Amino acid sequence: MSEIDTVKKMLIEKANGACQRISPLWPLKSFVAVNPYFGLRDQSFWQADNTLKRIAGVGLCMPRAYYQEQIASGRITRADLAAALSQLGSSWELAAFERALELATPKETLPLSLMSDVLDGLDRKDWSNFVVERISQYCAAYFDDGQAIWPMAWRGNSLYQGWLAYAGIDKSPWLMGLRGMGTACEALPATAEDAIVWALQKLGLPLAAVDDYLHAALLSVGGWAGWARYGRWQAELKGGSDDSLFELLAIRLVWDALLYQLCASQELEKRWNQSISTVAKPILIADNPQELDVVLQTAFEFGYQRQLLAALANSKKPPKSSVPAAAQVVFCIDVRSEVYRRSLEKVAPTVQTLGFAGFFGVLMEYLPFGAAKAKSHLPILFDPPYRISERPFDADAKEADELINQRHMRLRFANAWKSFKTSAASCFSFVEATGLLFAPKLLSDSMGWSRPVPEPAGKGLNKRVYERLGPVLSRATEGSKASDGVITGISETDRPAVAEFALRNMGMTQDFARLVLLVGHGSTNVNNPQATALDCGACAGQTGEASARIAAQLFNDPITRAGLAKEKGIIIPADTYFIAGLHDTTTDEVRLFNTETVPSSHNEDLTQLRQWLLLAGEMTGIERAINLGTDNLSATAISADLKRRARDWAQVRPEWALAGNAAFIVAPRSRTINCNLAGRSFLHDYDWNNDTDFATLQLIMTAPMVVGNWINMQYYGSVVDNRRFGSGNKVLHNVVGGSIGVLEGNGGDLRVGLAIQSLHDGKRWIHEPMRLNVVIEAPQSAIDQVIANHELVRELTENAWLHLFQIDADGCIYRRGTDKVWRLASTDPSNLEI
Amino acid sequence: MAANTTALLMLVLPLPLLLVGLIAGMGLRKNARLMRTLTAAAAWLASGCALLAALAYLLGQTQSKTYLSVNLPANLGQLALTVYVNLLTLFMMLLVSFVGAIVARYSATYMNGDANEGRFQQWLSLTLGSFFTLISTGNIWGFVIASLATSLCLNKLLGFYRDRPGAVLAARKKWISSKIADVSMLAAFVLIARTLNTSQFADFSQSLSLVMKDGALPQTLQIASGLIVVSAILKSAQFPFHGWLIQVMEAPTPVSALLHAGIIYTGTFLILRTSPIVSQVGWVGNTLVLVGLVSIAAASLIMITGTNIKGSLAYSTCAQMGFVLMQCGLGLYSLAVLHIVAHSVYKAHAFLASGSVVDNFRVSDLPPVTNRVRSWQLILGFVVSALMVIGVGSGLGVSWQEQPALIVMGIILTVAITQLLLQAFNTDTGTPGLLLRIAGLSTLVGAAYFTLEIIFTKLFDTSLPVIEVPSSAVQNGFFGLIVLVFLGLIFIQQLLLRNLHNPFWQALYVHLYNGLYLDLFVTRLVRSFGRIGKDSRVGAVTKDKALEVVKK
Repeated sequence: MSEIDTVKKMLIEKANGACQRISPLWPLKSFVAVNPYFGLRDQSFWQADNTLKRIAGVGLCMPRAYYQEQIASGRITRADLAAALSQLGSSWELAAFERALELATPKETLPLSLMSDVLDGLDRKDWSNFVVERISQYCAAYFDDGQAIWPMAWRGNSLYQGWLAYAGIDKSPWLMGLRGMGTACEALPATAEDAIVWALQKLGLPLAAVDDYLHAALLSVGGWAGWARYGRWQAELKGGSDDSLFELLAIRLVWDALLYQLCASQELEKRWNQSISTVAKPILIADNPQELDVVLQTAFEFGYQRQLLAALANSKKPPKSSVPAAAQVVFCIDVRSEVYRRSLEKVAPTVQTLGFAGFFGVLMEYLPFGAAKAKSHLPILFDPPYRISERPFDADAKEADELINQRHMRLRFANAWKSFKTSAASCFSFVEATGLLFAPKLLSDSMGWSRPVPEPAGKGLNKRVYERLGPVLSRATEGSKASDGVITGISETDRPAVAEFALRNMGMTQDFARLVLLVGHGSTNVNNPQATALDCGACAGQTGEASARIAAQLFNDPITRAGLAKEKGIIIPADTYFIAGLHDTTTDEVRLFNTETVPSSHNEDLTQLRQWLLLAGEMTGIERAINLGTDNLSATAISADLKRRARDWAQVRPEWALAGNAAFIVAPRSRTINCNLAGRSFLHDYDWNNDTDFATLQLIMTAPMVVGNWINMQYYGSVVDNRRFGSGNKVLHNVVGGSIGVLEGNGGDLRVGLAIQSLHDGKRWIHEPMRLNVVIEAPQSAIDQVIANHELVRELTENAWLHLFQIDADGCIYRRGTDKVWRLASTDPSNLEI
Repeated sequence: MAANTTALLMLVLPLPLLLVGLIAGMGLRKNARLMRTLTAAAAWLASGCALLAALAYLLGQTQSKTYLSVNLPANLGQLALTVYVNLLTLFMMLLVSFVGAIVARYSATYMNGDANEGRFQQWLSLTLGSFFTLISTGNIWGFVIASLATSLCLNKLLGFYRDRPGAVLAARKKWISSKIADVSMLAAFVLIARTLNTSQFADFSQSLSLVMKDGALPQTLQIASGLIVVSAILKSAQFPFHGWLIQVMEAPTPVSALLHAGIIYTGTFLILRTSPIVSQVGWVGNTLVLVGLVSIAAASLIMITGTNIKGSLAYSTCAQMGFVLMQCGLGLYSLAVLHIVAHSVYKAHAFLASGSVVDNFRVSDLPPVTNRVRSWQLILGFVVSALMVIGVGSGLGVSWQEQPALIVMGIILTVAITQLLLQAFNTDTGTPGLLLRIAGLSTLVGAAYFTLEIIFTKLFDTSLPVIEVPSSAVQNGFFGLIVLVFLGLIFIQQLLLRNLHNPFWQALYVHLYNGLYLDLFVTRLVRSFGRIGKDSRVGAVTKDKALEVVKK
C-alpha cells in the first residue's frame, strides 16, 4: 500500500470514528429519550467534559452561578464539598477551595473554530450560520417525511451525490458574494470518501487536529447528524447499513474547503494557520480534580446521594406479610409511577405494587387497525420478534374487513381534503368557501372543548368502533387490505415461554393476588410537537396501552397458563385475573380496559380497586401540584387544573414528565416502601434470591438501566448545554419535515433534546442535572460479573456515566468506585461531621 | 338613546388595552401574572364591545360620530377622533377583536414563565389597541397615527427575542418596509385632503363627485392612488417585499397568528377605505392584479416546496394576500372582504395549532399509492368541475353576464374543484364510495362559495363601490392571464411527479425552494444598513448568556 493510500485510509477511519460520536435522534412521532453523550461513553465522564469544552465550549457542568446558588441555598453543604474534594483526590483543603471559589471568575471557553468561523472573523458575513442554514435546508428537503408537496428529485441518490447536484444549481452562495461555487462543485470528488480526504487535505489540517475538527464539524450540524445517525441505527437493527451520516460529514467538510478555496487571501491563511495550530495541541487532562466546576458538580451529586442513601438506610424493611395482597398492581418503572405507587399504597395498604419496564416483557411491534406499517412497541434497543395487530375484539373477519375499508376511505377522504387545502391552485377557493368554519373552531379549541386535529389513534373511526379495538393475541394472517400479509399474534406453542420471560423478570412467579392490574402510562396533551416525549420510553415513545393489554391477555389465556404450569413450573391460580390499565400522567387518572370480561366473581374486587385508584390519583395530583405552582388550590381545583392542562392547546408545560429523575433502584418494593422518593426514582422490582443464574439481573442492567441512563442524560444534556443538546424555546418551535423534528424559529440546525419549558418553570430549573444513581440489591460479585460481561455496562459504570451502589441484605450500602472497588457508602466523607 | 351607541362602543373598545399597555410602562410589567390577566381581560372586553356594537348596529344605531376635532393648517382638513360606522368597520372589528381575544388568551398560557413575559403582554395589548383604533377611525390622520402606532408596537413583538439575530433582522426588514409604506400613505393622504377638501373617509364619495364634474380624476388623485397602491403592496408583504413576513417565526407563535390573521390586512383595508378614489383609476386595478398574480404564482409554488410548517403557512399568507389584492384590482371588493374574514380565522387557527401537525403523522400509515394522474383524467376532472360550477352558480342565481370578473373567479373555483376531484380518480385508491363522497363535497364547496359570494355582495353593495368594468381588449387580456396562471399551477402540481427528474424542473425546484433568493438579497441590503447584533461567534455566546439568565 502506498503512503497516500495509508493516509487516506487513516482519514476515513477518523471520519468513521467521528460519526460514532453522534447520538441518534428519534422522530417526533416516537420521540424517545436519547443519551446525547452516548458516543462519548468510551471516555470517562470528566474526559468527556474536557472534550466537549474543547470542541463546543460547554462541557458537562452548569454555569458557576448555578452552583453558587446551590451553596447559598444549602443544597450543596460544606460536607458535600469536602466529600467531593476527597473523592476526587484533590489537593485542595476545604477552606482553600472556598477561598479560591470566591476569588475566581469563570472564564469563557471558546468553541473550536471551523474554517467558516475563522472566515466570520474576517469578513463578517456570518458564514458559519450561512453554511449551517444551507446544509439544514438541503437535509430538510432530502429527508422530508411528508411536509413538502413538491419533493426534491435527488432523494433516491445518496446524501452526498444529491448534494452535489443540488449545490451545483443553488445560487445562494453567489448572492452572498461567493463566486465560482458552481465551477468548484463540478470539480468535486464523486464519492463522499474521496471528498472527505480532499477537503481535509485542502484545509491542510495536521493529523493531531483531525479528530477534534471532525467532531466539531459534525456537531455544527448536530441535529441533522443525529437524524442521519437514527437512520443508521434503524438500518443496523435490521442488519443493514446507512451512510448518510458519513456523507453529511463530507458535505460539511467540503463547505469549509470550498470557502477556503474561494475566499482565499493571505490574511485568511494566516488566521487559519493560527487557529489550527491551537487545535493541534489539545491539552489532555484525564481527570481534573483541581477544577472548581468538577468539584462543584461532584459535591452537588453528593448532596443528593446523602439524602437518598440516608432515606434507604433508615427505611425499615417491613416483615413479609403473611396475608395475601388484595390486589397486585404492576407499574412502569417510570419516575412518575413512584408518586402514584406511594399514593396507592397509602390509600390501600393491602395492595402490593410492583415496578417493571412498561412493555411488560412482551417484545412486539404493533400494527394499528388497518395500518400498512407496524410500529415498534418495545425499548429501542431491541428488534421485535412478534407482531401484534389491533382489531375490534368482537368482530368477525368480514366485519373487520368492512371496518378497515371504511377507515381507509375516511383517511383517504381526509387526505383529499388536506390536499385541497394546501395545493397551490386550490388553497384560495378553499379559504373563500370554507375558511369561515374556522371561526367556531378557533373558539372551541381555545376553550378546550375540542382538539385542534383528531386524536391520531382513532382517526377515521367511529368512537364506538374505536372503543372496541384492542390488541389480539391469537394468530392470524392479515389480509392484503391491512398489511403485507404477514402473520400476527403469538403462537400457542410460544406463549408459555413468552409469559415465563415476562413473569420471571417481573418477579411474579408465586403469591398471585386475585386481581393483578398491569398499568402502562401515557400523557394526554394537545398541540405539542414533542408530545411523545411524555409517553412511555419502554414502548418506543407510545403509550403503554397496547403492551399492558396484550400482556394481560397472555396471562389470562388458558393455554398459556397450562403451559406455564406444565413446562415452566409457574402456577397462576385459577382465581387470579389480569386486567390492563393506562395511567394518564397529566391527569393522574387510571383507565381500565375490557373490564366487561372480568369474571363476575371478581366484581367486588374490581369495584374496590377502582375506588382506590380514584383516591390515589387525587393524592398524586396534590403532590404534583407543588411543581406545577397550583399547590395553593383546593383538591378539586387542582384536579380541574390538571384536566385543563390536558386539553389546553396553548399549554407548554402539560406535565413535568421525567424532570427531576436522579435514581434507579433495583430492589424489592419492601426496601423502599417507607421512603418518599419524590418522583425522582425509577423503581424496578427485583429479588435476587429468586434469580438463580442472575439472568434477570443481567437483563435489568443491560436494558432498563441503560434506558434509565439515556433518559437521565437527555435531561442532563438539555440542561447543561441546551443550545447543542436541547431544543431551545418551545414558543419558537417550528416542525420540520412532517414529523422529523423542530427548528427553533426560522431555520438553523435541527434541534435535539428537550425544550427549556420542559426543564425550567420560569423561575428555577425543575430538573437538577445529575448523573443517575443506580442502587441494586444483589450480591456484589453478581453485579461485577454483569459489568465484566457487557462492554456497554462497563463503559457506563467504570467511566462514571452513572453512580453505582449496592445494598446488602442488612441494608448496608456500598459504592462502587471507578477503581472497581466497593466501599461502604456510609463511610463517605460527606457523612462525617465537619 | 341616541343613534350613535355603536360609535360610542367602538370608541371605548380599544381603551382598556391601551390603558393596560400604558400602565405597564409605569412598572407594572414586572408583575407577569397581573399583566397576563389584564391583557386577556382587556382583549375579551374589546371583543365583547364589538359584539355589542354589532347588536346596536342591527338595532339601527348606524351613525358615525366625531368626538374631537382639531383644524390642521395648510388645507389639510381636521385631525379628528371619528368613529366611522359602516358594515366594513363592523365586520373588520368583529373579526380582529375576536382573533385578538383568542390570541391574548393563548398567549396568557403560552408565554407563561418567559423571562420578559410582562413586556410581551404590554406590547401585545398596545398592538391590539392601536390596531383596533385603526379599524374604527374615520379620519385619515387618525388612520396614519394608528397605523404608525400599530407597526411600531408590532415591531416590539417581532423583535421580542432581542438576543436572536434572526428576530432582529426580521424586525428591521419589517420596520423599513412599514416606514416606506407609511410615508407613501401619508403623501397620498396629503394629496387627497388638499384636493378633496376633506379628511374623513366617509366624505370621499361626495367630494369626489364635486371635483370630478367633467368625469376625469384630477392628476393629484391619480398620484395619490399610486401611492396608496405602493403602501398596500408593502403592507401586504407582496413579492419581492415579503421577506419579513416569512421570517417572523423568530417571534412566538401567537405573534405570527396575530400578524397573519390581522395586521397583514392593513394594506387591503387601506384600499377598501379609499376605494371610492382608487376604483376610479383604471391602471391601479391592473397594477394590483399584476402584483397579486406574481405573488400568487411565486408564493404558492414556493409553498409547495416548503419543508417546515410555519414557513409553508407564511408563504401561503403571501399568496392569499396576492389573491385579495387581485380581487380588489378586479373591483370585487365584497369578495375581498369575504376572503379577508375567512382567511383570518383560518390562518389564526393554522398558526396556533401548528404544533398539532405531528399528530397527522402519528395516524397509522395507509397502503402507499402512486398518485400519478393521467392527462385525460385532468381534462375530464376539469370538464366535470366546470359543469358543476356553472350548474351550482347558475342555480343559485349568479349573474355571470353582469360581472365578467366573476367568470374568472368561477374558473379559479373550477380549477380548485378539479384538484379535489382528481384525488378520487386515482386508480389505486378510487373506490365508488370515495368518488361519491368527494363529488358531494365538491358540490358543497361550490354551493358554499356562491352562497357566500351572494351574501357578501348584498351586504356590501352600499358601503363599497361596485365597479362596472367596461369590456376591453386589455381587460380581457388580464382575465386570460389570471386563468392561465391558475391552469398553470394545477398543471405544474399534477404533472410534477412525472417531471421530477427533468433538469429544467430540478433547477426550478432548487430556485423555488430557496424562495427565489429574493429574501437573501434583501437581507444583504438590510444588513448593509448596520450590523445585526455582533458576529456569529459572539452571537452564539450571547445566546448562552441569555440561557444563563434563564438559569438564574
